[in-house]
Amino acid sequence: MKDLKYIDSGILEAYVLNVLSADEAQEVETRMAGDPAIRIEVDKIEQTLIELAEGYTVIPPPTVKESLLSQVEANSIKKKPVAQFPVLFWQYAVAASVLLMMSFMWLWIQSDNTLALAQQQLEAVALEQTRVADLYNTTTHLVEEQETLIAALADPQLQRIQLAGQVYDPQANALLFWQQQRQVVLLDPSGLQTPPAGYQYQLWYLLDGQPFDAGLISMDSELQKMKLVKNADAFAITLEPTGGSQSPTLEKLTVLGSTI
Amino acid sequence: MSYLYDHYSGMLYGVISRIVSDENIGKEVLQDCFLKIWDRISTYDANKARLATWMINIARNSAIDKTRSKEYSQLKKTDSDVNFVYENTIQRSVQTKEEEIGVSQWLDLLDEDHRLIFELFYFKGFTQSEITKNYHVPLGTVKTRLRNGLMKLRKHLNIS
Repeated sequence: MKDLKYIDSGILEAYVLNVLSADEAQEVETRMAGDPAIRIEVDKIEQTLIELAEGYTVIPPPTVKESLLSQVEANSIKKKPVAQFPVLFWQYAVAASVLLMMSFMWLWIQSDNTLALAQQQLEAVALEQTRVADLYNTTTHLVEEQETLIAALADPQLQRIQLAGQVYDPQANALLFWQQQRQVVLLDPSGLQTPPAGYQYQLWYLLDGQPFDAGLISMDSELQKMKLVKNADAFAITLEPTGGSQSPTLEKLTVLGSTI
Repeated sequence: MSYLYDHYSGMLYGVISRIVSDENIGKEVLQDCFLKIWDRISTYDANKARLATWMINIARNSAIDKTRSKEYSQLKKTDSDVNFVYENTIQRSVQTKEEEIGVSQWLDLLDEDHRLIFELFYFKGFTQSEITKNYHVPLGTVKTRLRNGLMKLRKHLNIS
């Protein structure tokens, strides 16, 4: 029961951005609970916006973190109870009542401390819970990615291309798999040296003598999916400043392999 | 707190920087935004939204609140349309300097009309009816362009 008209109305995007009125948001949630297609659509909108936001990452100046942490600390100190004990040396009766009062205060402070501690623990648990929920989402996504990888690797039309070391680094090698029909490119960079700090490997494909970006290489994963490539005469990897370059630095051509 | 900051500050600062062009105000908004996140983390409902979406919304709203505040409008005493174009230009020059190549061209995939509406809606915090009013585009068109724009990005990001 896929309600295309509702999905196409743009209301789900507004829901994800949290710009709907409470009534409208409630309606979306009710429909979402009744129709998995809407739930999936909302999820995809979220994923697009998150990837978009991640793509536009700007690292904030380090001073922000310091000032933030010190402010959080100052706030929590302010909240702690300050105990003041009246010190009176009068007659025994008074002394006794003071003692009694002090013991009550002590009990009170104790309980307040316990409460604060419990609250802290609760916050920590809540944070952990959201972290786990987020991790679950990420993991599900990773599993889906891995499944695509496996499917691509099992494909009989998969082409295996050995990229061989060049003058810049004769010892280097890398293995590339290309499924031309589906345009899928997989790369195993484990034969490359760890790049020096501030540098990153970048894959290029060459077509009619022109190089085109095929994606940045992460040294964290062994086999990774690169950008889609429809036609190529050869693939090459160069060492580029972190974040990649628009055109390859040919002096740092690390490996090269032809598709024919 | 430190964990959240280390993982999400770059993304959230990116969101904020697209709305607030002044670096000092941007830093202030980022700090504000994390204090809000810290304050409201217990109200976060994992069934309703992903953590990142929830935080992006807080960041965007904090930034938008700032741009609508008195302090901010004193800083920029220009007509809002001129202002938008101006900020947009500043943003772009900042982006190209700090951005990784490739990613910053995502929005360039969209044609001019789509991109303007997309930025107004997703980054500048305009509502659909505000866009209709200020830019003289019919509401139906705004909705279709937003939807088409997002679908195009999705295709590009391989989220089918």
